[in-house]
Amino acid sequence: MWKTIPLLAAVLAVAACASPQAATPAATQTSSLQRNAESLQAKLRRTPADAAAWAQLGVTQVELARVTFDPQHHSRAERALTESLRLKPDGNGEAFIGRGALANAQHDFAGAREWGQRAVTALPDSAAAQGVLVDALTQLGDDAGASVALQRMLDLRPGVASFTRAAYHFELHGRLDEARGALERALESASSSDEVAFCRLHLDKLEGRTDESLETTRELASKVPSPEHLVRYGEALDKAGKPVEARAQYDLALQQLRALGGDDLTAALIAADHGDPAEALRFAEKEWAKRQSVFTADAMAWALHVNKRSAEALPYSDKAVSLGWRDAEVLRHREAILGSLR
Amino acid sequence: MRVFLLVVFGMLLMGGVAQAHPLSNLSVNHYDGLRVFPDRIELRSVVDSAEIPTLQDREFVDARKRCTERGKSLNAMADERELTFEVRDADVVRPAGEAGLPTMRLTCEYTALLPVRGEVEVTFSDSYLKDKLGWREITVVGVDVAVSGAPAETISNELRTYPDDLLSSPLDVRAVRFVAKPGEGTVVTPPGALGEATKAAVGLVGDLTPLVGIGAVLLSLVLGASHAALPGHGKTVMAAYLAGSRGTRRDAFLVGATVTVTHTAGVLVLGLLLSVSSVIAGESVLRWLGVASGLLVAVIGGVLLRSAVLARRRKRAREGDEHDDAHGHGHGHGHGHGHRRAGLVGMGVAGGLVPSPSALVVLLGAIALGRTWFGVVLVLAYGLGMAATLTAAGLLLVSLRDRFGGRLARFRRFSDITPLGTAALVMLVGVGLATRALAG
Repeated sequence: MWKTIPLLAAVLAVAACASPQAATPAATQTSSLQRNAESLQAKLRRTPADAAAWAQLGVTQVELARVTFDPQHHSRAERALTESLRLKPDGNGEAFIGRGALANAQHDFAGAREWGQRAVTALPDSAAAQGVLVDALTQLGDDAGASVALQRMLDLRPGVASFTRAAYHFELHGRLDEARGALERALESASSSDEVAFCRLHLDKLEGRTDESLETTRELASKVPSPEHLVRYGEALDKAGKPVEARAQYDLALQQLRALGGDDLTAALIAADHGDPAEALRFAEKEWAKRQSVFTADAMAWALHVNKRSAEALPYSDKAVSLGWRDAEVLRHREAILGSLR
Repeated sequence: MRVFLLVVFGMLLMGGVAQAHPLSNLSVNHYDGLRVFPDRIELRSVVDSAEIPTLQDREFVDARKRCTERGKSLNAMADERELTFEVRDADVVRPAGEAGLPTMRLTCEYTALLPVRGEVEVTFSDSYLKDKLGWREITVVGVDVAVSGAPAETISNELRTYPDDLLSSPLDVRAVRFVAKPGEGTVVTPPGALGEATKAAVGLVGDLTPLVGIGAVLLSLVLGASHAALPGHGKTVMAAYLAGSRGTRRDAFLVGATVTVTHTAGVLVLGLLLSVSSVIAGESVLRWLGVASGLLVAVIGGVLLRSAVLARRRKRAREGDEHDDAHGHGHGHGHGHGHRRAGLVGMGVAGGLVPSPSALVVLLGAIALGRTWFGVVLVLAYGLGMAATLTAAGLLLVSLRDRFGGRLARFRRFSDITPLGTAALVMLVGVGLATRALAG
């Protein structure tokens, strides 16, 4: 009997038996997305000219990349979406949404805005299309535009996706009670264990209850050694009094960002805290040229400050908190800048 | 015995690591290839780390130590009995990846004792770095043992080429269960078009009638000839040498004959070594032979350079009282004769020193089928095919030079510099070949 069971089933069974605690919501979400992708792949083997199925496959792979942190899904998603658009170049709203979500995931927010707008034109009643726009406009610093798209999304489909975005919007505006309220509503409307976990994660983040223990961050950095994870691990090491090992993590993160490119905002903040100040400013200026949002304003302010240009940093710091954003890191940067000007 | 086909055909597609890792530069990819023999299981375990995990891995000291450590996360049971894998061989190479960052490819060879007398059910799982992102693949083949229940062929060619199919998900196989019992071994097929031809030759070896025999010999000739026609066989070097040392048609045949003899001897020795000993890993032997061949070429280049410089000096010295170009030419020729003959033989040895994987496949296939003598004939034919291509290239060059060289000789300065330039070229190519083999 064993001989005939497909390998994947065998693997899942082994994984489940070996570590029962591994069956966290994230794992079930991964496997349900994985199943979804596999059934789309099976469908496309029979009907390879199905533009809609290619688009769904692409969207599913963007989701897979989000929950697994595995960037290889991005390149697969891109190719699936390209195939969908080749088969149906016009009015292919699903594929536009997919390209937009992918661009957001890869921090190409200007590109995401464009795809989002095309998606909204093709599918005016799609909440997902509005979601792409909300994310892109928020990151690009177009607060008014993001609010309009968010309201439209909430009108179209009040649910986990729109409530969690609303919560983030409130958070950026310093309206923490409303943010909490939005997340609680999201939790009420959550229909699966994955969605519940997703909402709880956001609530924890809002309350500053993320697990920054040495063990958790070490596992994360070992599983997915992205710059963000390496820095979290490095900071945990610093707290545990292991500066040499911490240094190695920061260096690796910076090396990775320098050699392979990536998010200049992250690079600017890491370099400002743990690397070369001049390099930090270069990264920050590069990202600021692309988008003038509260996030890039904070990075500019901090990079200027570590270069002993605190007077120039102040206007950027003002902009970072202009919406009312009260993030702990942002406030730490602001206090340091104000302190050095006193 | 057929397992050695597996050892060898991996090398047919050697090299060629993409700039960006196909499975993202964060991935750590795993492959376990099990070969079940009547008395043991041999395991080749490959870990392919992309750029970032390689940078992250600062504790790496040596491959054997890492392989021992890695062995702890292998778990195998045969009918309730736990198997222990002993490290036989360990190797690590660091091909350059994206942005010049290093990647790491660790290959561990293990053996576990397992007598397959009746039917045995084996489970095998690999939990090494189980949290890392990446491709995971396990294959099982039987060697004089029938195996069922697990895939036999590696679709990533042991983590060298990852399938680029959007309609299949990346493999994530961490465990297999299979049944082994005495019987026919698994037939594995080498990948690629050349692989198909090789398979045909091996297949032909299986059922020997006079017609089939002649066909197999002819096929081996063609395989050898086409193998030598592939780039990287020192043809440039040989050509430069013949041109630079004013070689004759006889010299071209001399090189051809040396290639045949060396190659046939090399394949026979390596083939016999591989089939009597399981300690030798084919890949590392080939690598060292490649290095030796490159160094030999470099040395020949050096000797050539020395005699070219000496000849030039003598010529300079005569230049005052002698203007007859033809005379000077003849003189230099006669003087370098002894060196030249040795250099040509050396060049042939260098060309034939690295046994070609497909010739090895043919030989090992024949040995596995109990027709060793015929395998030797095929390897000889293969060497002849190689020699034919190389000799033809040499002859072509000599006749081209004879036809057009006369005109060129009028340019005194040019003919003066050619031997120096070619000698330097030969040396450079030799160093290059050795370096490439070393970087493997």
